[in-house]
Amino acid sequence: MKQTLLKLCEAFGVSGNEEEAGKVIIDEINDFVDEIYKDPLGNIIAVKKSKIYRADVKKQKIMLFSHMDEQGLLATYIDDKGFVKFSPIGNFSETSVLGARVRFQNGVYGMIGCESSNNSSGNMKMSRLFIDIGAGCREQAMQVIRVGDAACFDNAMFEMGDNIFAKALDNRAGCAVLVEAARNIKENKADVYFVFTSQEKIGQRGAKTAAYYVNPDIAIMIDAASSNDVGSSQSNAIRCGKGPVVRIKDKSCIYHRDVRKMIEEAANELNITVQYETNENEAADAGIVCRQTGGVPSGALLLPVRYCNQPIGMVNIKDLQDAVKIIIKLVS
Amino acid sequence: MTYKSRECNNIHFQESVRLLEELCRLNGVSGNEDEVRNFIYDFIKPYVDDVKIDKIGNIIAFKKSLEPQQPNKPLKVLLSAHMDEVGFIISGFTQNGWLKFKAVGGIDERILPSKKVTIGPQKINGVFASKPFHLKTKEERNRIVKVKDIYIDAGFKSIDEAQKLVCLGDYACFDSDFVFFGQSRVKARALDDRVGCVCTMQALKNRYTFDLYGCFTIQEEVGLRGSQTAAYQVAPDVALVLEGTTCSDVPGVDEADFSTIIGKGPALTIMDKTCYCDRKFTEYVYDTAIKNNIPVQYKQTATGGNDAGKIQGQKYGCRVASISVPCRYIHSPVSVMDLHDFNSYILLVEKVLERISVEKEMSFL
Repeated sequence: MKQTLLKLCEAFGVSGNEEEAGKVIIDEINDFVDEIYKDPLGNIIAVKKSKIYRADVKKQKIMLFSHMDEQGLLATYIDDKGFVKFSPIGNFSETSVLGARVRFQNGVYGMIGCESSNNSSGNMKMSRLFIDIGAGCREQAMQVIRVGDAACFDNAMFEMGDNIFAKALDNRAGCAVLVEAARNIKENKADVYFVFTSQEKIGQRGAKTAAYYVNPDIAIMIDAASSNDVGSSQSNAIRCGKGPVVRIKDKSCIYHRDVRKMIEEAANELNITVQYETNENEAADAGIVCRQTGGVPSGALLLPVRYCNQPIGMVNIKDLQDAVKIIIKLVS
Repeated sequence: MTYKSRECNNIHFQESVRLLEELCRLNGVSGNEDEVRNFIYDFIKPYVDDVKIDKIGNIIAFKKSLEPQQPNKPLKVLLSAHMDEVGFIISGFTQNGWLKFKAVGGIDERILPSKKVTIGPQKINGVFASKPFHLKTKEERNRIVKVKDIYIDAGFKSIDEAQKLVCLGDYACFDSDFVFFGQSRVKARALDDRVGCVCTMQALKNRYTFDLYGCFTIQEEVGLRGSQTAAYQVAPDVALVLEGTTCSDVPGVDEADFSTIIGKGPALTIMDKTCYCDRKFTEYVYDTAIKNNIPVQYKQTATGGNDAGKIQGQKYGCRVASISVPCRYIHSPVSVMDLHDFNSYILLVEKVLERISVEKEMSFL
C-alpha cells in the first residue's frame, strides 16, 4: 500500500494536466480490471465485471470514484527579469505556499517568492507572488517554460511510524485506496467501476462526464477529508489514525442514507471504527455525480489528511488500509 | 469614413467586416436575440444542409461531411458563438415618466452616466440620467452611483406617456455606431460576440471530411445557458468556442495583467473560471497558427468564463478549445478591436478546420 501511495503521489497531475498521474494509475490496475477507458476530459474509467452474478437478477453498477488531480500553479506571464507569474489551481492561501518548491511537468524546478516591499501576511496577495526558476531574463526563462505550463508542489516524502508525509495526498490517497481495492476485490456481486476523475480542484468537471458514461446505480466517493487535529482542536475534529471518515453532508450533496448504511455495516462487520463529518465549506465530485442521468444515490468514504491545501500533507497509512477493507467488504 | 488596409483587402475579409457591421447594428440583449437570430439564419440557410432553431432559441446548423474519415462514425466538430450581448431590461416607471431598469449581463455601473440607449422594438431613444455632480453631497461624490439610482430619460413627461410606448420587460441596448478609426481599429458595441458569429457564419460555407455543426447560442452573458442545450443536442467530439475576450493593455495596468494584447492576434484560453481547455487541442490550434504565419497569443489571465465549460461537460464530454478576438473595453458601448486580429481569427479557424479535415491522424485525439 505504501509503495503504491508514494508512486501515485510523486506523479505529476495538476488539474487539466493529469496524463502522467493517469498513466501511473493505468499501470497499477491494468492487470486487475477487465476494461479501461479514457474519456475526452481525461477521466480514467476502469471496470471489473462481476463473475458471480445471477442471470435472473439485473446486474448492478457500483461506481467508486476518486479525483486524481492535485493542486498547483498555472504559469500566466513571464516578466522581463525571468520571473513567472501564475494563477493558482486549487484552494491554497498565499501564506502557505510562500517559499514552496515547485516542479513543472517538464522537470524544471522553481520556488515561490514574493515582491519584497512589505511582506506582512495581511498584505500578501496571490498576484504579488511569482515562481523563481533562477532565470536571469525572459529569454532564458522562455527556453524552458511557456505561458500555460503547469507546476505542482514538489517535496520528498518522509515518515514516522504509520504517518506518511507527501505531496498531493489530496487525493492520491484516495486513488491509492481505489488501486488497492481493484487489486484485491475477488468476488464482486455487481460490476465495479473504478473511476479516476480529472479537474476536481477547479470545479468538479471530470466527474460530470464520467458519471454520464458509467450511469451507475450507486456511487461512492473516495476523497481526502481535511483533518483538524493540530493544536487545540474540538472533540468532533477529524483525526488522522482514527479511521476513515463517513461524510454525512457537504456543500454540494447530502449523502444518501442507504449508501451510508452500506458503508457503516461493512465497517461494523470488520470492527473498524469510522469517523463522521459534516462539512459546510467544500463542494465535492459527489455533488455532480448524484445529479447525473436520472440521479445516483451517493455516499462518501474519506481519508483524513492533515494540511490538505498545503504543499505537503500527512496521512496515517492505517486509515487507508481500513478504507480498502471496507470497500472490499461492501462490494463482495 | 471607409477603411483601407493593405493586408485586409481581400473580398472574403471585406464581406466579414460588412457582416460584422450589420450584426453590430442589430439589438440582441440576452433573452431577446430575435433580430440577430433572424439575420444569421437567413444568411447561413443556403450554405448548410440543415438548420433549425431549438426549443429555447439556439440556432443549430449542420453540414454533412465529405467522404467520412472513419466510415461508421464521422468526427463531429462544433463551432460555437453566442448571439446575445449585455444590455438592460426595463423594470419599472416613475410617476414622472423616468424608466427604471436592471442590467442584463455583467455591466460596470461606472460606465453608464452619459451613455445612450435604444429601447424596445421601436428603438426609442433614451439616455442614462442620475443626480448631477454639482448637487451631490461630498459623500455621494466619492461613491459609485448604483443602478438603483440611475434612470433612463426617454423624454417622457409622465408615466402615462411612457407606458404608451414602453412596456415592462422591454429591452434597452447601448446605442453606439460601428466606427472605423486609427490605422485598423473598430469601435462598436457587441463585438463580444458578433465576431464569433461572423467567424462561424463564414466557416459554414465550407465542407470538410467531418460533420460540422455551427451553433449560435442564446443567453451566454447571463449564465452560459443556451450552450448547454445546444451541446447536449449535438454531442460533439471536438468543439471550438469563438469569442471576444478582455484586453487590458491600457495605461496604468501592469503588463502581467494585460490578459491579451491588441494587435497580437487571436487569443487562446488555457484556463478560465469555467473551463480548463483541452491542452493538446489548444496546442494544436497554436501550432496551426505558427505553421501558417498567423499571429496568435495565449490569454494571460485565468479570469472570466464562456460557453466552453458548459460544452466540455455535456454528456460524454468533448475536447474544447477557445479562440477569442482581443476586445478593449469589452461589455461597454465602445468595445475596440483591431481588424488584423479579426482577419487572423477567421483565417486561423479556417486553417484549423482544414487541417482536421486533411489529416488522417490528429495529434490531439
